Amino acid sequence: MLVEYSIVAGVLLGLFYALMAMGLNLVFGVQRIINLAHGDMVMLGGFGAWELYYGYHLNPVVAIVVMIPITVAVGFGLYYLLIPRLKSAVDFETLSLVLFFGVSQVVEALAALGFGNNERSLPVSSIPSHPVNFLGQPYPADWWVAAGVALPLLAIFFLYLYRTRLGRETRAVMADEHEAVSVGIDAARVSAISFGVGLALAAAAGVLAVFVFGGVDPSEGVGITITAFAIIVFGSLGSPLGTVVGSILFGVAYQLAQVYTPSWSNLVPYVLVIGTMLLRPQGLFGRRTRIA
Amino acid sequence: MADEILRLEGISKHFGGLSALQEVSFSVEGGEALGLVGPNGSGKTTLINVVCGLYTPNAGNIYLEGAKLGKTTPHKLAKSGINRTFQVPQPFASLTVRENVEIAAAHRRGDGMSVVEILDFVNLGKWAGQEAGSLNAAQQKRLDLGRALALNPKVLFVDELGAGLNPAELAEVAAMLRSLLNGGRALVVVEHLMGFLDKLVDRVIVLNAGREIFHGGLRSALDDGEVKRVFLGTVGA
Amino acid sequence: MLDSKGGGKPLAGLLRRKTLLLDLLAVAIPVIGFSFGLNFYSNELLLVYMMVYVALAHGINISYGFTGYLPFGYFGFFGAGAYGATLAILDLHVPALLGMLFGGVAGVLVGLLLLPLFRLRGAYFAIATLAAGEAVADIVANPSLQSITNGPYGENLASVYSSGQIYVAALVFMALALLAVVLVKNSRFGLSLRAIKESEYSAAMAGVNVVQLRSLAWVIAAAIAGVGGAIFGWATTVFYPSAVFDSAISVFAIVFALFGGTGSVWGPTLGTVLLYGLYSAVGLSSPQYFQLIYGLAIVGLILFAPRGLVGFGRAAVRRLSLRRAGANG
Repeated sequence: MLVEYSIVAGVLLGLFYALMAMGLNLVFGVQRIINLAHGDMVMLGGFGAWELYYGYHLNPVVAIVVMIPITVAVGFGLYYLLIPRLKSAVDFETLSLVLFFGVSQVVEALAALGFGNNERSLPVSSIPSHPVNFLGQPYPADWWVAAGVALPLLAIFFLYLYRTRLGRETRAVMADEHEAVSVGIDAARVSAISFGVGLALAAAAGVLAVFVFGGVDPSEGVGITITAFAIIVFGSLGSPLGTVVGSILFGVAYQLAQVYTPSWSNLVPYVLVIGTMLLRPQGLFGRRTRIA
Repeated sequence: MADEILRLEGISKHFGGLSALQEVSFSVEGGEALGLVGPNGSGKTTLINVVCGLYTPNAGNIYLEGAKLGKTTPHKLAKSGINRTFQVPQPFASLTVRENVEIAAAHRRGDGMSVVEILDFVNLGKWAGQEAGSLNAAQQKRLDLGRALALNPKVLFVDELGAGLNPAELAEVAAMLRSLLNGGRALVVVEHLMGFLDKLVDRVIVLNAGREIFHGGLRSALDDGEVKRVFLGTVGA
Repeated sequence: MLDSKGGGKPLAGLLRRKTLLLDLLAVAIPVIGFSFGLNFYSNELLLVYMMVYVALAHGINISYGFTGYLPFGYFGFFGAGAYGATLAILDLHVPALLGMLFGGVAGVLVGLLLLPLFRLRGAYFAIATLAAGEAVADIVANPSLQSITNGPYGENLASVYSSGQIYVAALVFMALALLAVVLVKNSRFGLSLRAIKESEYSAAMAGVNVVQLRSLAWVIAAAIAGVGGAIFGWATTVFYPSAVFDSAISVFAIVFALFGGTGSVWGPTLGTVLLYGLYSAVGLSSPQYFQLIYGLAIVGLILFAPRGLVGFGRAAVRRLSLRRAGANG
């Protein structure tokens, strides 16, 4: 019974985690940048939903739709502001890590100044709230909502990546930037757009996170970034499908840990990231091409 | 007959399904320069990487002066007398030219040229105090050679030292390498430029797709049917 | 082969002696400065923290500046040191000063435990240490270990508080950390580390034992963090796990070191004194504004002066002397 429960819960939350981690993997795949501010974008998405709900009575699910174009645009601009200057640096990978840490600090500070240091939550009445039974066991409604919103968004993302011209160009840059440039792809533009898409995915996940995590506060970013990073390393850096499968496995593992050893369950992401890096650095879906 | 310095027996290396080296065997004597040729991807650099400890071979044995080398690390090989230059040299860019050589000389066992002598030998004495990153490509290749020489290697693998040099520089480098043979050192020279090899080696091993397809004199290699086929269009002259 | 005399020309030797002298000044001046620090500034705790951070920034200097491995999870050693010292003092009843050494040992033990992470490079290494640091924190703070570490409820060292001893311990500790950097920088060890940073395999082919030297640098950095955490805990007296296992500690130390300039003896010290000074002036009263300034400073630093203050200064000097040479020629 408990195992069944953990698996169903893990799959539901896993879809949400996939949405939460996908943007980080996209940005890494395209630019070889680990966006340490990713978790802060998730946090901003949560505050955005809160403001839209209390300011304009906007349903959080609708808020996601409103925020997507805005965050794509913001990410596009942010890319051109930060990355081209850094590209020439000797130690690009490490320096970009520190750079985005700085960005994360700025975002966190602005959020704390703008929204206050306390956790905020949205009323459960803003989404369907009655627990939903499945195979004879009840699961919180917001998990169903999170999975139900994450699934179509992920589907749209996969369509974009595999069925559109821009998506094809994005995958070309992911595979080899120099090759992509040599066949006439504007790698900078593609990178900027994918940075925006990554941010949009993070913000969308952030709205759902207000329910899944029970609230949003300015300092939640770091923990989210580490969890998302654990997932994408586990599923294979640069592999979107790996992120989905890795998220679901992570969700199940985390739920099992919560059920059987609740006090140690927070260790799951850390063990996952270190274990994967040491034992199978290419991740679940990786080819043994790029050794971390 | 001079003493055997290095002997490879049945060295094989594969990466996943790809077989990079299949049962390669040869030996090289003190005072001898052996040529290692073959088209791109034929396994020349992989062979150097195996002998110099970057990769562990899947099969086969390596003997240095008759003693079998077990599982070891690159720095131990370097100290025991096996060294190499790099196709694309990777000098320690932020260190000075002198420091680049000094760092290797510090790990030498026994006698050898002093740091100053090495710098003069590779013609970089004038640039000794400069950061290695500021050298041009040809100078970096010579520095790489100097770094390798500082450990006074018994056998030295030279990986495409001639590529990108003009004829005058080529002749200079060939003379430089020839003089290294004095004192019983062995050289294994990987090179595409046959004219350059001709000045330096009497014997060549030709690799193709990880296998040895020819072993013998350079002149007869150029007349060999299989070698010609493999090199069709790549040898030029 | 003619002879095997070393290749040091007299000029080179003289230059080296001159840089060594300058480096030793970079030890002496901060030590003297902090010795009289209380005459200028009465907040003793803050000065102790500052000295600890100077040492931590130099731990980052050794790890990142010389070997190129950025330990984002540096706070893991720091927290381990704080707890190692505390447990030694409270449970083994060792004198507080000796307890600081136990802190160093705890840091080193965690460092040895994390050695396998060196199979990773660059950003992967950085993130893996971050995860490892968080994992150590989670373990120490776990309610299941309350009987040993007091779990999430923290520790209390009030029984051994001694402001004089703490100040002297911090001063000596900072001096030792600075000396360690001078030794590393001016030795063949340091040269080899820089070679490893540039190209591991080339360094190995130059005869450098990469694994051994890199591990040694790592252990020195871990020991510094361990003792730093121990002194921090002692000075703070009552602390919770979240105070000593705070990722902000790593980030402070990293940014102080980068801001001042890694690979030098002056850089991290200057970076710490300036930025931690700023933190004390602004950060304590309005932490959000500090975090904002701080974040912007990091972004600006990486984009405009990735080699830190010292690198910036060096470039300026070089440009000036080039211009002068140009005028003369």
